[in-house]
Amino acid sequence: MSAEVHALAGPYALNALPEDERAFFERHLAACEPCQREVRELRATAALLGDAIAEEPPADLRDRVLAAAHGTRQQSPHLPRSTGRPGRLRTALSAVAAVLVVAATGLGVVAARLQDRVEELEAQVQASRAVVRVLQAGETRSERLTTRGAARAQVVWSPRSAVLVASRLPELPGGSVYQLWLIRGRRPAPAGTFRPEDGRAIVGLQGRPAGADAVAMTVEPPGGSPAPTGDVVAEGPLGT
Amino acid sequence: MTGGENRPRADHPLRSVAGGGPTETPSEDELLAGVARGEPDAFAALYDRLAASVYGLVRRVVRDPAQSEEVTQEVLLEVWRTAPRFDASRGSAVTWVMTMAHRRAVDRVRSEQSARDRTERAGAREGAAEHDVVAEEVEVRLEHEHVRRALASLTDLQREAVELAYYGGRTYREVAELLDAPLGTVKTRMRDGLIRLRDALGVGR
Repeated sequence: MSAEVHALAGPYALNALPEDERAFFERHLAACEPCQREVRELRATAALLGDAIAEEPPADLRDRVLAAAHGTRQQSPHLPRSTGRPGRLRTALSAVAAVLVVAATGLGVVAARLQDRVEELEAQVQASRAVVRVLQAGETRSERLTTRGAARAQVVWSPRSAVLVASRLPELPGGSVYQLWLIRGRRPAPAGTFRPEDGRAIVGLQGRPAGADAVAMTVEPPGGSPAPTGDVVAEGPLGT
Repeated sequence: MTGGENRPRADHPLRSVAGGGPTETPSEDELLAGVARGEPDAFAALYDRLAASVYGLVRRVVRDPAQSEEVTQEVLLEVWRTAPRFDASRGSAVTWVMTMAHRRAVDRVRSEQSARDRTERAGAREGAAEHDVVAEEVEVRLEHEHVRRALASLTDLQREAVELAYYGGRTYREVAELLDAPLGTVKTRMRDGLIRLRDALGVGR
C-alpha cells in the first residue's frame, strides 16, 4: 500500500492525477517527508521540461500584465494590525445582530427540515454558542473578508472566539469541504471545516483568534487537511 | 567591452555597472523577493525573465493562442498577488512559477475536455498517433539540448508517459488508455522516468 502511494509522486509532479487521487495523495504528502522531498525535486525537473519549450508571448502582453498587477492588491504575509477606531464598534454590533438573526433563522430551518441529521444541528448549536461567546467577550470586531467570485464572508471575533458568516458560497463537488484557518505569522492552523447549506454558513472557528494575524478559507478534500492545499476562497486580517 | 577608443564613455552611468561583473544580475529568487515586497520593477524584470517560459508551456498544453495568452496573464498575476506568501524553503522561484503555470494550463484543458468529451467520444484518436504528434511538436520546439538528450535517455514508455502527461496535459488514466498500458505501470513509469530525468539534469543535487 505505501509503495503504491509513493508512486503517485510521479503523476502528482506532472499534474496527472485526477482530482480525487490528487486530494488523497496530498493528505499523504502532508505527513511524508521523503515524498515531500521527492515532489520538490520532480517538480523542479518538470519545470525544466517546461522551460525547454519557451516561446515569446505577444509583445503587448507585457503592458497588460504589468498594468493589471498595478491594479491588483497583493496578499500580505504579515497583515497590518488594525487599531480600534470609533466606527468599528457600531459596525461590529450591527454585524453581530445580523449574525444572531441569521443564526436563529438558520437553526429553525435546519431543525424543521433535517431532524434526523443531528450532526448538523450540533454544528449550528456550536455556532450559536460561539456567537454567544463572542458577544459575552464584549470586545468584538468584525471584518469583511476578501472573497473570490460572488461569495461574501464576514468574521466576527473577540480574543477568545470567532464566527464566520458566509453566503453565496459555491457548491462543492463530492465530499469536499470548506476549511477555515487561523494564521499566525505565516503558519496556518486548522480552524474547522464545514459544508454550506444553500450557499450559506455560520460557523464557530476552532481555536482562539488571540494572536492570529489573519483568517483564511480554502477548499479541501473530504475531512479537511492538516495544512492548506486548495485555493484560498476568502481571507482577511484579524487584528487582535 | 574594454575598447571604446572611438567614443570614450567613461562618464556613462552604465559603464561602471557593466564593469562590475556578472553578480549585478539578480536571480529569479531575488527578483521574486522584490515582487513580494511589492516592487513593480522587480515584477517587470521577473516578467522579462519568465514570461516566455510560462507562455511556451501554457501554449503547448492549451494550444489555442488566445486562451494561452489569457492563462499566461492569469498565472503571472497570480505570481504578483501571492508572491508575499512564497515559501523559498519549498523550492525555487522558477519551479514555483512553472508549477503554477502547468496547473493552470491543465485546469483549463480539463474543464474544456470534460465538456467536449460528453458530446464527442474520443474514439477518433489513436493513442500512439497522439503521442507521435505530441513528441514531434515537442522535438521541434525543444531548444535545450541537454533536456532533449535527457529525454532521449528514457525508455519509450517512460518518455511517452512523461510527455503525454506534461506536454499533453493528460491524466495518468488517459495516458494508460492512450498507450494501452496498465494503470500501475504508467504511474510507475512517470515516476521512474522523472527520476531518471532528474538525475540526468542534475536537479536537487
